[in-house]
Amino acid sequence: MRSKRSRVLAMAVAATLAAGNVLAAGVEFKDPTGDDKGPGNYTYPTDAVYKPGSFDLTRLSVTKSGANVDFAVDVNSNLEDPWGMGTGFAVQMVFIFIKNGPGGHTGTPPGVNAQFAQGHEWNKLVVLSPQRKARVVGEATTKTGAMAKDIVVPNITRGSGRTIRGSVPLAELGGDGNVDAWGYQVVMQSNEGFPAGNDFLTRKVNEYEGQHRWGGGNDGDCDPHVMDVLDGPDAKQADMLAYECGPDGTSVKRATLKMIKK
Amino acid sequence: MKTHPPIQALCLAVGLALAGPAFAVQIDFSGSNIYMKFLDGSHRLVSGGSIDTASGSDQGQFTELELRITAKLSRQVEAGARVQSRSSGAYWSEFGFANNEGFGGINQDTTTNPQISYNPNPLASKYMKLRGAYISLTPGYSWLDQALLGSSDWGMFDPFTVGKMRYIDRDNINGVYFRGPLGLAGSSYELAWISLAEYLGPNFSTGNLRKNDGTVIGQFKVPLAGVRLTASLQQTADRERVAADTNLFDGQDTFTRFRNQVRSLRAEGSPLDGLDLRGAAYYSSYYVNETVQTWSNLLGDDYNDTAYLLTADWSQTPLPGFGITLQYFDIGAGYVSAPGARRESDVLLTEGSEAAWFGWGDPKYIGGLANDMQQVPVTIRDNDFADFDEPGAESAIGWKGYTALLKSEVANTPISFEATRLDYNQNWQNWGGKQTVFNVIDWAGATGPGFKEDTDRKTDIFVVKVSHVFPVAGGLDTSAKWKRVADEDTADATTAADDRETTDNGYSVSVGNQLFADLYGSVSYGRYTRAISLGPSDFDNDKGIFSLRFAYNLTGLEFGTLAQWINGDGDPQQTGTEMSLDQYRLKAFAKVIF
Repeated sequence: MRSKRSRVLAMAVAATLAAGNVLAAGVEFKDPTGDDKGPGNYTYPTDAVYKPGSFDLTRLSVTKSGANVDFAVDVNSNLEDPWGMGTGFAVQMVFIFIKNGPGGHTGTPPGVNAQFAQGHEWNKLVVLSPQRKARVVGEATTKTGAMAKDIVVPNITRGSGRTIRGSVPLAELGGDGNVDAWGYQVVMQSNEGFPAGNDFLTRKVNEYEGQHRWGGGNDGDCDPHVMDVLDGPDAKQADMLAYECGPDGTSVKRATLKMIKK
Repeated sequence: MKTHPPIQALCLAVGLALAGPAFAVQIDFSGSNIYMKFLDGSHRLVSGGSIDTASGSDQGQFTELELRITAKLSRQVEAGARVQSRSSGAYWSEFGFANNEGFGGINQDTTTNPQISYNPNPLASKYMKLRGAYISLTPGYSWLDQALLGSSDWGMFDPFTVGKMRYIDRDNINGVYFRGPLGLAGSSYELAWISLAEYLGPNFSTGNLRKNDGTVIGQFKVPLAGVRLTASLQQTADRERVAADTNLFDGQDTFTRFRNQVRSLRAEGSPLDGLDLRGAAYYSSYYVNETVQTWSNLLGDDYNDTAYLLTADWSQTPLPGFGITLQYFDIGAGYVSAPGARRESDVLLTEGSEAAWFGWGDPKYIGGLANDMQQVPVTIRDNDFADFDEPGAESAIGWKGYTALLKSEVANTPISFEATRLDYNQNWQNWGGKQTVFNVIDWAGATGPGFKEDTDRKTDIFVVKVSHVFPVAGGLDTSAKWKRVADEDTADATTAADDRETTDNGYSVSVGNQLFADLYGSVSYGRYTRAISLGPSDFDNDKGIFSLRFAYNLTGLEFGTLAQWINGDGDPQQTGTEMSLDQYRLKAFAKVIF
């Protein structure tokens, strides 16, 4: 009797789950799989919590929903919460840079070690982090200087399946409200609760990977601490993340990102 | 003017020292913090040791300081350490000098023995301890990427082999670690010797000769035709002196007290976009010298066993937004890895037993735990020194079965459904003829490996979770969960008197909101029933848990609190008489990171 009831329940839930996903209209960008290697040779940290594909950006979806804008970022691995953040994900942190007006910032928050090309400046940055909003905002206020006023953090960010999502008021993003026409760039980073120095909750890339550090870069801050970005027809990841370091670890050529538009 | 050559030389030496090395040493203290914990509850109990739920406290406050130091001395050398006050038993009420801060003191009453010190409790002293000290070398050799000496949580290895464990700290275990490339592109080797903690052997001991006991492990990763292969081989050995050999002039002979070997092979691949397959096989062999060790918390006699995991994760099915994960697992009752993961890892897909019933029967846990259970591949789980808001660990030793986890999303509403059927490799009568091996740790309680003389047990687990963020009031974060765990054990097949059925049903709903910029709050309510049938007797338990959480952040400060009110009726100690259940408990913490 018990097992029959269980089977009926299981079938009912499965039917509900299989009912499918209702996709709202909005702008969507796909990114190739297997390019979670930064400029081309970055390697994952060695701790088992960094699952293969978990920093491999595969999709950005931006949807205007009433007075809010919903952001959803997919990665190429099921999300897990090994650090008990309570948000459905733990190791990832996503920066969504938005170009929706004239001018803007060419620099990036400390710890990213990249810049934006002229004409591709960002006006707003949406941060999807497993940390509490107040922690992210506090770090932004302390560490990002003039950028802080343009950094927007959703009240609630959640991960489920392979998707990290957050929603912010359209009014906080400014612009003309036409999200389909805006330019976007996504930077896949890793949530670091104890960031080094002035870094904005970011995980470092070193020459050799460590238990909680990426490898394949430079021990200085001349290399982009970026695992994956949004690829576009005229903006290839390898070109954007190309960099050059001096012998003392200072930057000779910064990684230079571009906005992607539909 | 009179000169003093020795003073000049000293000044020169000091000056040179202050001038520092020619290269720029980068010293980073970021992550250092002050942590304060606050407990309150209706039990009105304090423990003699640490201030936490598992130790029996629901009252008191304490403060700890942690200094984190990382020094980058050159491109090739980095070192780091934590210096931490270990004062988890130093109550604020002790006022900074009570009982000489726990170091003990001399009894001032000269009518009794003046030499006897009183109350020397290290946990009550705010002394600083060295933690997490390491040296990391990246010499740049073609064959060596990194060498690590000292402390780590060893998370670079598989939890079934060498795993994370926490006994207050996560990095108490020290060792030596080397990693470098192998010939094939993307392949690597890892070699380590890891010191064996002195409680990780039989009888919670590693004998008299123990300072050099350890685990040697080699782990090799090779990508092959799109498949990531990882193989490892390890041996943990506990050697002892031969008592009769006391001649130091030609050295002392040794013999083996216990030895544990583990071999593993794992494979991961993605044959299709959105379809990941993972498989792992483990083989353990265990030897214990019964002539010197007649009781063991590991196994009582020599034994070899296996563990298998197969997982298929299909995230991009033809139905948009619908994914399914299937896992098969079979972990032998005699699978042993002495340094395997405890508490800090969750090795199975299933959510496992209902955390709200953790520790049922113990008044400390009327409300169980407020976090989900984790399954660990060892018999001893280390649930000590933990609070009720932390996840608990249960032993998955002997578990075999399968889990199906279905996930979908309807109208921005993630839904998941888990179905798990658990069988047990401990299902035997009269110990399966292996009493000497397994008649060791039946005392381990509900989260233990469940070694008993007669067992015929199976468990079904069903979990449904739904969450949705409503776009009102800046986002209403809602979630609901229903869970059923049905466990039955007919135990001795010759009698029905020991047949046991335990059925847990429960649901919870939660609503959270970013109340204002610095404060997140949530409220939740859960209702849980546990019906136990033991032979001719029934024991019904029913409780509700109302929870209030707050997370408050200012720049550099984290403050969190969880308060719970538990009400119900039941017979937790199975006396045949129902009683009222009533408990209030609160944990709060403040952490300043600088």
